[in-house]
Amino acid sequence: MQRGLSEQKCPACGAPLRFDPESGKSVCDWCGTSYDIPETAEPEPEEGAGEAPSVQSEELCCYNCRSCGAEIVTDSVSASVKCPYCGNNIVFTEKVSGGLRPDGIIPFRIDKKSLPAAVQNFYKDRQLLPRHFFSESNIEDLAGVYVPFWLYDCTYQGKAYYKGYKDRVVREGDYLVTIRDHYDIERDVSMDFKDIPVDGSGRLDDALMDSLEPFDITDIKPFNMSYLSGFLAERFDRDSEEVRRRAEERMTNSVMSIVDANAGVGYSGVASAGNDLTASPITARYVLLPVYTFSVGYKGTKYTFAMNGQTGKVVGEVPTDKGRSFLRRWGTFAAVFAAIMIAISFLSC
Amino acid sequence: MNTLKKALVILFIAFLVFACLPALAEEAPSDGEMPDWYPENVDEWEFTPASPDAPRVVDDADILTDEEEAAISARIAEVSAKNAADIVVFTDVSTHGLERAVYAADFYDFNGYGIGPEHDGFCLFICMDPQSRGGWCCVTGSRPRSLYTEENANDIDDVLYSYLGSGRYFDGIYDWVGNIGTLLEKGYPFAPEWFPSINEPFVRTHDTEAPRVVDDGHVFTADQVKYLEEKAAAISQKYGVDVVVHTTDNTYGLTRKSYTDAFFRYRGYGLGDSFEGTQLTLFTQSRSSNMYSSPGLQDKLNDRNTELLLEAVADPAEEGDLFKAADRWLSYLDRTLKTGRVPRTPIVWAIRSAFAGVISIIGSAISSSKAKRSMRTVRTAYEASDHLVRDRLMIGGGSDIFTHTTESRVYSPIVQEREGHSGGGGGGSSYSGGYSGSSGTSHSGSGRDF
Repeated sequence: MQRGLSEQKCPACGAPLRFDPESGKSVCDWCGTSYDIPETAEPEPEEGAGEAPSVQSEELCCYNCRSCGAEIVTDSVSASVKCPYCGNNIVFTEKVSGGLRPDGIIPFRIDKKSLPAAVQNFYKDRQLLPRHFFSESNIEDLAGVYVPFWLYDCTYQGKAYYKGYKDRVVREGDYLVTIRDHYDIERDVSMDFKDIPVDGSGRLDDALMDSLEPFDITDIKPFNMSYLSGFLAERFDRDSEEVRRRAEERMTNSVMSIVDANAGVGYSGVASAGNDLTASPITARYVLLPVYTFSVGYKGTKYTFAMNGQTGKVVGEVPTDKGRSFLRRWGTFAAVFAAIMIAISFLSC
Repeated sequence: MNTLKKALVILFIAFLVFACLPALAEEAPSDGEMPDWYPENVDEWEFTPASPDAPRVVDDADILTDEEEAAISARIAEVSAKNAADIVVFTDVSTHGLERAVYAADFYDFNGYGIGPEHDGFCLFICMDPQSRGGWCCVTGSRPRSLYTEENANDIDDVLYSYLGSGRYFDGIYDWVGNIGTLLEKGYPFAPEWFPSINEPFVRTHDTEAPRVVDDGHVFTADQVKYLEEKAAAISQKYGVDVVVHTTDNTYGLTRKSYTDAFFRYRGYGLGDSFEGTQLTLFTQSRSSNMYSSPGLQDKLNDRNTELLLEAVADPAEEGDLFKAADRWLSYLDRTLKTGRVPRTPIVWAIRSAFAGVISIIGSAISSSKAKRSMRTVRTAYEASDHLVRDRLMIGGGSDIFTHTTESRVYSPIVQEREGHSGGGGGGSSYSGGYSGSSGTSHSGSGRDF
């Protein structure tokens, strides 16, 4: 076995295997045989087995395809590619082993054949999208990619302080008297956040990846290279410390709104008076999550899209059709105006 | 020693009982202390009609002079003869432990007042007891009782008690007798002269000579009256319906609607066999208006169009420009009788368009912003509440320490709704639609303190 390369071959006919999202099995397109992927963790490849990449630099790696012998040049983060000459599915084991080995993987559940239907759904809900924005001819660069994500867990504990009041209203003659009892409130707080995803790829837009949420984390499987066959995969190029700040920001933004909403129960009103909440050391898991990326060329501009490979949710920046926008605004105005005038005339007869 | 003490206590209590019994007996009403006219044995009492010459004004409280009594008696005689109902005025300084209503009924019954088999009549009792000054009007007989409704009773009492409250007893009683007479004659206590008698069948007539602009409120100049008359006459001629404009400062106790209908009906207005016509009444005091339309005009002057016509004159009427109100009504009436639709003023169109425009802009903005928001599918995640482990969330315990109390006051007086109806803004009478005196005779009535 060449060191650093893993090729999933069909034991029956030796043709390349690929992971089939619909069946969740490795399938051989040549002889039609399919194989279950074990749900237990795959043993790490032996150190020193196989051959090293023929050429390696910080940004580029060069490998020889074992099937056709062609030289494959990849970037430093690609962990799985397809040989451009023979179509062989190749996994670079050294990028998914040791410290780079993922703690888990969510396999693709959506086949790329489902893209047109997903796009149609996306179209249906965007009424200002240009009419012919999506067509088969302008969808380009479709690729199924396992994107590296960090899943963060954290516990917040401590006390939150509030100034609160309870109002009672009583009548005294011609006056309504509001009697306000003031309280100093102290609340014990404990809350756990689990599996907050932050992408570890510097090449993909963070907002685009955030928008793909939610992923069903309960569907995470132990990592197995068989899931990568037929798909691209990347290893993280931003480690958990580097992107942890984004997870912390999200948790911080949520903590006080959650505490504020619960602490004032039974009071007419409360105002925060500070807190001494502390976060436990944040922990991270490294997982690969399934994402389809594609782009759409429209009037000379390329728009990048992504689809959640588990749920089929499509996101992407889209242009607004000015004509449709104009019609929407003034059409609604005219329709509402006419309806009101007709209703008034009808009611006043 | 103890026995001696007990005996002394018992003796003391016995002394108190014997000493106080005569005093208690003095306070309780007894036959011996009731007025002369009160029968000794009520159970054996039988009705004996009073002589026609029996006094109809019995002033035991001595609040009227002899001359005043004579004047009231004369008026009672006149009203009573005309309407076949007895009218009695009785004053006293005490009700002898009875309720005013019962005492008034007993006075009427036991003295044999009343005309006809049902002893028709009214008895006004005025109690001058310093501790409980007030009055009660006791009504007997089915016909008087049917006329003395709660609404009429309140209207009559408003006037009566405003006099009594200011010590003008004669004026109040004299006026009350007249109002009872009008009630018996016309069904309303303050009905105007032209209101027909309910005792004779009313025959509707055409009065072609009657003016079609009747300015009883004295708000139009002679030129304005002439202008309105000409305009009304032109419309009347064009559509074959009578057109009347009327101003007044008095509804004579009627509702505005009843007054307007009555004015058109009883003053001889209306053209043809079915008395077709319409009338605008402008009330000068309240600066409001009402409208009558004959049944034959209901296809064009239906409820909705009537409402719109009154809305059209409401603004100038409220501003006190009743001529403008009348002029606008005639103009709009002309168009309405022609097309069946009330023309809208430009300001109405402007208000409607502005209203529709504002709602449309809001609707359009909401729709556009919703559509634009749907285009923004790429958003940076800012919060993590979806990743909160709900079943491990704990916010509680701690402490709630009371620190202090503050108070704030807002002036908010209680607005009390008055029950019943009272035309003149008085205190509102207590009204009884049916009660019995000591003799068991049935009466109705009303009364107030003053």
